[in-house]
Amino acid sequence: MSGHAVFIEEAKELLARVEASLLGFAEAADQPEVLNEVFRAAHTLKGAAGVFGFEAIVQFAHGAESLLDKARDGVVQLGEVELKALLAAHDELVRLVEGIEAGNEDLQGDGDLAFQLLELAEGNAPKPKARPAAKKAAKPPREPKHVEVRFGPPVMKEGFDPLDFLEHLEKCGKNAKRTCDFSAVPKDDTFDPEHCYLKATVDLETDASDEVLRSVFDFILDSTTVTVGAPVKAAPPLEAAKVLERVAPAKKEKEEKEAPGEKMVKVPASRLDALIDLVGELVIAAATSDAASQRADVLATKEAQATVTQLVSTIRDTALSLRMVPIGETFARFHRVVRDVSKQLEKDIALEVKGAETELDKSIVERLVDPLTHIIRNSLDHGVELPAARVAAGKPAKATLTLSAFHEGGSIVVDVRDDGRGLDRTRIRKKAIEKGLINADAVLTDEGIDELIFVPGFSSVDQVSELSGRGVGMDVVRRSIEGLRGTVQVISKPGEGLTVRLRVPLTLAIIDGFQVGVGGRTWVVPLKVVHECVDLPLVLESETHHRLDLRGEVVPFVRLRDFFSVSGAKPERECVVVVEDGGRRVGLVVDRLLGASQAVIKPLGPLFQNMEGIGGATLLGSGEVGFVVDVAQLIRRATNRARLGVVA
Amino acid sequence: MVKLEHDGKSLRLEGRLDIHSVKEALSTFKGLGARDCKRVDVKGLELLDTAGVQWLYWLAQRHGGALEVVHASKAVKATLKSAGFEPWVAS
Repeated sequence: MSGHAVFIEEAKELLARVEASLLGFAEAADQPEVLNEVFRAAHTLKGAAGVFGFEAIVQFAHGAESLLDKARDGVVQLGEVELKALLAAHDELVRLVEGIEAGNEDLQGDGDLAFQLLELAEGNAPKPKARPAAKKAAKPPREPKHVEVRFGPPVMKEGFDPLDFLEHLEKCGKNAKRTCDFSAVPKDDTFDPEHCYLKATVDLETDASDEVLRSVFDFILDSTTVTVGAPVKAAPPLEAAKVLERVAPAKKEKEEKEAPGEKMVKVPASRLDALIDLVGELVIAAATSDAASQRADVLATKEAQATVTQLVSTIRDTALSLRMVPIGETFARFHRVVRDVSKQLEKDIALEVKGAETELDKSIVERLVDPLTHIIRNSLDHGVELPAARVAAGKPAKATLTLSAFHEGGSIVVDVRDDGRGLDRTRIRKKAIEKGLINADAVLTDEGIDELIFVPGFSSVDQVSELSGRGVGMDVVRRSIEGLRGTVQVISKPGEGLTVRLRVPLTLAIIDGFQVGVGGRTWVVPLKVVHECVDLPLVLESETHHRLDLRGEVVPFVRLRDFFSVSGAKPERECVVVVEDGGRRVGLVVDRLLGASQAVIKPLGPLFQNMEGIGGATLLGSGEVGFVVDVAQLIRRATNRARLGVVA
Repeated sequence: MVKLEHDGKSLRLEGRLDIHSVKEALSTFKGLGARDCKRVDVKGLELLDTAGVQWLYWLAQRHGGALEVVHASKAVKATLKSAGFEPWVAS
């Protein structure tokens, strides 16, 4: 990864942390620590930007750092005005970093905002109220520090210049004295001029903590060793042990924050993608080999193949886990959305996050952002009532929006729940009749009415609002989620609130599948939704109504032969694969059951993209291409057909 | 990127001696087959970074550990100074 790429990635992470800390500052139990965290992040960002010569970022980070430093000293109190300015500075920094990412390194920052930050830092703001001494983040006195840096061999090749880091380190204090040691450079032909052999020490007087000094090298810490302590020469022998003790906790703390007991390695996402692709090929090759060993029917070959299959399965799971990220990072960005939108709508709304540690594939997380943003804005705009209306309804004036995530049966469930008014079914029904989506005399269940909000073009709000009504409806949200082979469901309790439930797979790349045959082709059903397989009863309870009697339970079914217009005669006996997703159970009628296998899902070409009921394609062990059944769509089709009166 | 010449008295460096050119500088230098390169004329050197300094250090090691760097620009002087090689710079 180039130095620029590392900078952009780290800067984004730092800024996300800064935003979360600033948004939580008012309610933070330990405000001085939060303040220190934000200060350190601004400081690190400034240093790194300075190394790369991104002056606009340096300026802004410097303004924020100055204000935060004064706040740490207790000279300035972080009130509404200061927090707003810092959040605006955060936004500006995000814009500048994104500009660099897009190749525009000459973007200029907002001069007025930079000036405002410095003005606030200079105390041109309301004087601080007297604060209890315990709450004040006392600035430590200046003391001598000794920093030893052993630059990692790849640092220069990665686009970093070690001398720039040392220069920046010296700016953290006064009377700096630097020693560079190039003695590790070989004299002979083994010299690699791109390999960094430099070791350096810097002695300086500073009030910065060891952690802040180490943070100067944050961007290269993967390969570089940095130790910070008191000047060794000044310390008597016994004190040296204390120096080590002082260094160790800071290092330990950082490592523990990252992953207890583990070292972290940063790898470009493209390399992981390439690895997953290769693992996909391996899975296909193993399936082919498995098919061949079954045909050969030699015991020793079969046993060896079973071991290979087991290993491939383990490799697959391990490789996929590398791309797993906690959803909390995505949830964190919605604090800002909720805060800003609440102010705009003059509503008082708290955001609660649950299950932030739940992990899913990075590629899925990224594609959840837009649908979640739309759902959240909808909830804030249309679901949550104004404070007066809430009080009148016997609810607390402050509403709560809850984002939660959890694992369920091989999927991730993400709930967006508000405690607002819920869906207005009378209004939805009226609108659906007006728009010709249902007949005036249609008999619909509550669930059926709720489903109407997903019909394309449906909107129950007469006036398109600036916030959520941007021409994007819940149908687009559903399409986005179904594009991830997921489902969307609404659970509404009138007067109590609405939950929008997204259910998405853990990963998009490889699944455990269940192969079935229809006509001459093989189809793959995701194994996680397969509930059971039974023979289709010869006498159906209601063939015309596509419902069968499953041990007393009426289950709707879809005959894949009819659904996909497969030619040829159907066999004498058919089988039913009973699938269950989102609490709904449907039977898929097929010609024959072929068994479980791993499936590497490949995207469909343009010709097949809009075909209902097909979620992707996969290469089978036989070399044949199989289609992956989109179970969510089939379930919806079957259950819709079971409802009376729905035209769509 | 970087140009190396030896005029019999000194090694002349022109262009940029940085991470992008040090490999090229090394192979060109080896190709020159020059023996006495203790005096380095950097009149035409526009940029020097840590990789460039490290390259000069390697060169210095072949000449008893020191060089005489002449005609250094302000920027080149500053870089050499920051790496602790100010004594190499001839006034």
